[in-house]
Amino acid sequence: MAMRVEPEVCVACEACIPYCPMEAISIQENHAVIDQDECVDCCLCQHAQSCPGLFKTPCSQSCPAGIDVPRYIQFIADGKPDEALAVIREKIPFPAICGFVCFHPCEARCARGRFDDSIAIRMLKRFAWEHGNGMWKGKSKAAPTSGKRVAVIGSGPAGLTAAYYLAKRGHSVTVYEALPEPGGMMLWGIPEYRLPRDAIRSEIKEIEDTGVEIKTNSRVDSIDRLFEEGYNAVFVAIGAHQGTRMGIEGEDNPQVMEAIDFLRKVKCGDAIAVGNSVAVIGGGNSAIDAARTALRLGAKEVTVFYRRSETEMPATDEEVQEALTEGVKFHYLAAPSRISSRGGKAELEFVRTELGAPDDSGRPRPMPIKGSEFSMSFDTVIAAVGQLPEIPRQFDLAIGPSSVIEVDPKTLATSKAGVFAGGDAVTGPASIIRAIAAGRKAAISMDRYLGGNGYIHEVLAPSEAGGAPRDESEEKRRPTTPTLRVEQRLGGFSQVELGYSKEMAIEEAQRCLRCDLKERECLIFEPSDWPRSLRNHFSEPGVPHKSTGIAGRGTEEMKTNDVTGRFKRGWVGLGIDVGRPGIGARMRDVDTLTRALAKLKVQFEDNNPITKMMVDTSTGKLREDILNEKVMSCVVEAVFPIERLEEVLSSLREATRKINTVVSVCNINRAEPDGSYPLRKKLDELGIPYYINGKQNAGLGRPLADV
Amino acid sequence: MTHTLHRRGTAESLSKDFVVMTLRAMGFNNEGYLPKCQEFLRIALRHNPVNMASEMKGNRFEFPADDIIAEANGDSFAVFDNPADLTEFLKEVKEADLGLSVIVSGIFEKVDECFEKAGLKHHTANFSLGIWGKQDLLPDNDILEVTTMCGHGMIPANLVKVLVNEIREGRRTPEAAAKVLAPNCSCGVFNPVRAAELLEAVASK
Repeated sequence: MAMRVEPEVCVACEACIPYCPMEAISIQENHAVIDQDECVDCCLCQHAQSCPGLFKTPCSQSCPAGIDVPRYIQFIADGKPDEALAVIREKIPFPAICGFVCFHPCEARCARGRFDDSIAIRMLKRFAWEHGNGMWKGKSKAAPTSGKRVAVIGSGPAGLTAAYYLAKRGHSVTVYEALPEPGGMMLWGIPEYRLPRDAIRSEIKEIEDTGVEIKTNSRVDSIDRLFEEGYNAVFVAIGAHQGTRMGIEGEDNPQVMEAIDFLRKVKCGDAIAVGNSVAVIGGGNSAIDAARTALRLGAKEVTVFYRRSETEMPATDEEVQEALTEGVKFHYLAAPSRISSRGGKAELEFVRTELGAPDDSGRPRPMPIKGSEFSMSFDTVIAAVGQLPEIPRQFDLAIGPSSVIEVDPKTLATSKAGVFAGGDAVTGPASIIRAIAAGRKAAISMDRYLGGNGYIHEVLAPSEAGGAPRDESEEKRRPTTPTLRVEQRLGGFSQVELGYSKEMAIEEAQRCLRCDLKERECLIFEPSDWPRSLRNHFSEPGVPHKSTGIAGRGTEEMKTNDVTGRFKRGWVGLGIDVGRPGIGARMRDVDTLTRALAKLKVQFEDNNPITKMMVDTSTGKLREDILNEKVMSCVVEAVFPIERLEEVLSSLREATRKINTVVSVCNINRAEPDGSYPLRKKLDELGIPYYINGKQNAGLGRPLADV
Repeated sequence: MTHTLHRRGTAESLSKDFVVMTLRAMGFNNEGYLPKCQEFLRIALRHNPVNMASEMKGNRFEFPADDIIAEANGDSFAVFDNPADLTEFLKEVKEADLGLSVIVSGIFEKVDECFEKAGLKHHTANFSLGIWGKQDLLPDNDILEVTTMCGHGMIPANLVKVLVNEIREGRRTPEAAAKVLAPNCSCGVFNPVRAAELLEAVASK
């Protein structure tokens, strides 16, 4: 279970910090923060004085805004959508928008997903908004007027979130929006069939009700002028609306459009003729939005081209699935190389790609395959290969190497005093929930800058939802989300996903395991040995060894267990603990070691989880999708004839020089009838040092397999 | 698995550190193994173990020994700090004839002596070839000697450093500091007696 810290409860006592073996905890903004990338879920931090600020709910931990997911799900399970909505409102001012379109990192880490299906958290959030009322307003409070003025540039999720919380802190907030209606990318970049405009307007209205003034059609060119007008602080949240160019010949062809520009024009009601055939270049949600929108504008055939494979596609699975349902075609491992006009159409030349070594993003680099060029003609080409912020030079802010605004990551303060920045303008295109989280962070920092205490925490619903931990003994799948039939969709922009009924929502909410109420499950099950993705894949008890036919206990082979019979005379068992002691390891490092061992044709243990993660035991290659996972440690187990000891250890030694962690290396051997060990003799002969302490089997178990 | 093979230290220090574990094999002798594990723990308790645990329950620094035995669930562990107690324990385990695999982790020569006195003959050995790879990531050897007494890496190096400072400042005794560390090693193979000695030695430097 992943750990998280409840910022408002944490008093920054630092007691948890030394307990973390991965050094993943630091104090930021007066509370402890757990680096999600470094946390290996060992839960040792929980040992620190039974800290009430530490929780282990993977859903809440992975929510950038830290919404108390189990609590609101319990309220829904109890038939209390008002309370559920209030819980969501404690952390975000956009429950509807997140209910419709959040990319839901919470669901990806939901513990229930290890057993059957993750909880449909996003749909339950939408249910809470659709069925909850304004109970949350009863406990929502605003601080007395501070006399300070704040200007927010941009009315997207980051800007409006900051404006909302700053207004509640008593500041006078004005939001400047260049476009005719507020909402930023939520309004202009997401099609109506995914996110209804009424939902956006309703939530923005709530923000305006706190006293926030929104000035539309008001582009800001100078921050200095805002200060001259009397503002005490400025938040720059201008988003990333400028489409990235593909960088290929002919992309200025009039039949080529940029996705965000295309989507904005459609939202504005501009008449756009896309013709019958449309190519969309890119693999993100904007690409899918553009493709599905093109279908609704009358295109007969829409194809998405992506230069990597389906696995690397950043678009969410559900969006891709809906696109497929609607008839969008996907062409993977193809990159455009040139666009030209021919016979009134855009001729798009492609080169096929193959995946190479990981690039800076950690994804495999698409490598062009020589001689694989092909071309296709389309009426319209839509480029959706990324976006950048348009940062006016007059803002005079430090810009980072990725053309985004540079900020102090702890405070979001820019290079200019009194100016803060957040959202896509700082991170590049990310997500609504991350932008909301940035807005919260900015509000805290800016309130402190303005003399406040930065306290934006609210309790809008009963702090205890009740309920009890549930077990997963009975498989129960999540419900299929009701949707419009395809023939009803393509004639317009009606909402495709339909909401849950009350009965569906309660039943789905009752599947939640309530990890927040479970105690020390992680320690009981020794998670440190198990990569997150395979934490539930324990060794298979009772699986007989192929070689001996004797059942063993999976990964317990190296415990010199005398019933497994795995250690034949004349053979050596090899156990390598990658990441031990106490350093942790990336699976990429494990992959380096297993590949090196595979070259020497060692026999990997069948029941070992690392062996199970190999694509092919003859190469030792681990599955691509786990290579960036981090674990406290894991054990690779193999056997080989003793004659090859020097060769195997030498190769292993060489491989350990290439990794960024430590490896504890052990060799196991069966005794000769006289009690001597050929392995010890061989190590002595080869001059390979070994420790004076080790493990010996007392020979009390039975029967000892004689192989 | 190789967890107790990570233990580091001088021969003198490791001569006061013996871990015994009893293991069942799933699908082979796991049926009805729990009463045998409970008996293993009861026998251990008669021979002055410095720690003991049942894998799924926890260790002696988390729960009273009686609770561990009563609620044993999983493989079992006991730690001794001298060869005499280990020998007597092994004798009694042999006599009990539990039919579960019993592994002893310690200095080979010392364990051999105990085996001989207990009338046992080992048949398999696991040798540690040490820690390879990027060793500059490891804490100082002084700290490592303490942290490696939990093979799962659940004794955080930073916590050891904090406790060493507290011992230096007279705010905690070495024994009390060892008791802060011991619960973290859920399997109960952590030797708190040896830990106290090591912590005291580091604090006095």
